[in-house]
Amino acid sequence: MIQHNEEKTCWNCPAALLKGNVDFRACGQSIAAIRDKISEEGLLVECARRPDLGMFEPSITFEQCPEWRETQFGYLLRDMRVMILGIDGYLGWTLALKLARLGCRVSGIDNYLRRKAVAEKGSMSVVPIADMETRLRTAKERLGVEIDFRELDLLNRDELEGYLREVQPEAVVHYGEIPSAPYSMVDAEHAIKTQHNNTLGTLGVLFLVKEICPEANILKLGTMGEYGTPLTGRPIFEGLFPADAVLTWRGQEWSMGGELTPRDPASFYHVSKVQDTFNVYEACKYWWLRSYDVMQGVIFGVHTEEVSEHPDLRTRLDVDEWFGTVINRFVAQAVLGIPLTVYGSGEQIRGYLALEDAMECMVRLLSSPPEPGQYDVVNQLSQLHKVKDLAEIVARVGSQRHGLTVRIQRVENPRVEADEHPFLVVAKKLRENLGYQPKTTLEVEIDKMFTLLLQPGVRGRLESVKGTVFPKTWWSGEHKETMTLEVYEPGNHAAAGYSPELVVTEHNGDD
Amino acid sequence: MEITDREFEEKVLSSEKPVLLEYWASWCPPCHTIKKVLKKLDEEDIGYSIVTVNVDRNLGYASKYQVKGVPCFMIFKQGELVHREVGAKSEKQIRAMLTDHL
Repeated sequence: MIQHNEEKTCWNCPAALLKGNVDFRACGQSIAAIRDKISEEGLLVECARRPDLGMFEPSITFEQCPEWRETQFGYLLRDMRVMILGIDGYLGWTLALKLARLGCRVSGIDNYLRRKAVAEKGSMSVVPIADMETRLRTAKERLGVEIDFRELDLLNRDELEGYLREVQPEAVVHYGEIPSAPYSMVDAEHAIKTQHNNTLGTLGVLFLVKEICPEANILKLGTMGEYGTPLTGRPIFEGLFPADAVLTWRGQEWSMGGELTPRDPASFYHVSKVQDTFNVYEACKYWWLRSYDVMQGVIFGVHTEEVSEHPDLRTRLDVDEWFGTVINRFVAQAVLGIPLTVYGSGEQIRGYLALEDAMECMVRLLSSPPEPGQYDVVNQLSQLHKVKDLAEIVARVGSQRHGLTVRIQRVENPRVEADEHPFLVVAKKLRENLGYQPKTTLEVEIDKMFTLLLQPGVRGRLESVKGTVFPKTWWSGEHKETMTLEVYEPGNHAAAGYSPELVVTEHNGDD
Repeated sequence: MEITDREFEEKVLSSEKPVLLEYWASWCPPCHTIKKVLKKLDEEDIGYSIVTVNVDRNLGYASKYQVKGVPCFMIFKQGELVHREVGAKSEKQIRAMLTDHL
């Protein structure tokens, strides 16, 4: 079997230590000054796992190297030390179990900020989740895996430094951020808290990685929301312009290849993620750190093989207006008999990805680290949908498979965003370079969510938080009720406006 | 085709065909985006041999030819450097550069 990463070499491997053997310079900066420091042989590395090999050219392939072993997701560094920042969250916990089961040595920190913020809203995870102690014990008993955990605030750099030195991670997955646009738009306090935690937390992590484990593969979670939805309909590339994107001005042409594409964030939360993007980009440039900036679509779903193994291994599911993502909220509303709340026209197009597919993408990214100093961006999504079409799909699955009566309501849009816009998204790298193929369909995952949320225990919890689902946070800062504009039966709104366009291979969409 | 300094003499300086050489670096985003274009050109019969060299891992000739910015495109004919351009290029611009110097 041909693996997507078999031709990668030590050059991509976090165990290959550059030993400060590099010259940090920008394009256009002379290399003359460092000629004395480095032999004309060029750059050599030492293997952290095999120091007996001495210094050598970084040219052993993953396929040849005994430290990399074959898995269903490509070659994976044996016992890879992965630290997950934000390991208690919706994605963090799910990924921890997947990686641990794949043989990685998983560690993680969390300060339970997500649990506290959801509680602040008067809500909770509608799927009951165990405390961390129980989670870790159950993971050991049921899956036979040991996960190391520290209760730790990302902003506590002294303690984080100690933990990083102890673990010496070969990969750092950075999920340790407040992931909510509406939360950041509540008031000044929430906006500042979001930007402080996200931006300064990330900046601190970058400095620590540089000091302690500069070869580590940093998987930084960004969001498709960083790009915005340009009304020109220009393509949303994967963070960096391709070589053939050309700027034309006064009859002259310049290649934009490799330059960062424009960002147009949609909330103060999204601004924090854009700032992160620039900080990670710069850190890679200044210090030869390596990172995938993962521009993730909206995640939906509750299922992976590991979390479904036992109730105490379940990951959280939020349905409140702050932390509940749209499909998750729709399913909750359908179960509760509340018409599904579509904001504005419902013509907003967004990218989506099932939880299980998102986890596979992260594993694949961990299996194929960028080169030293390489900042790379992937658009991590499997499909594009209009919000009102999602409501139709949830309504259909709810009524046909679970006998529910589901209606849809259009409400005033409390956000400042384009209701109707074209959306042409490029998401090729995960498929072309990393061997990913989407596996989970929207209908199948929504069906699994209904099955879980209709369980009596979960249903009862849903009832107790039903008041937190309807949107109340206005981007305008006004404190007012959001009015319902229309309530309608599914199937009664004809297709209108723009059609989403997703480019996933070299040639689709070229014409 | 990726080469090292050890192969420079054979693949560049002694090449029968004209050579388009690109110096690149792992920390240079435009260098990564240009790879696909070079690969495509390499698969065509354009009258050039196309080689790429990592500037950090191969400092010898990079120093000799005073490579500063990357990506750095150089055209060699019969072992002589006849042209150089620095910075990202579109496929159209690279083709034009090659045609001009064939």
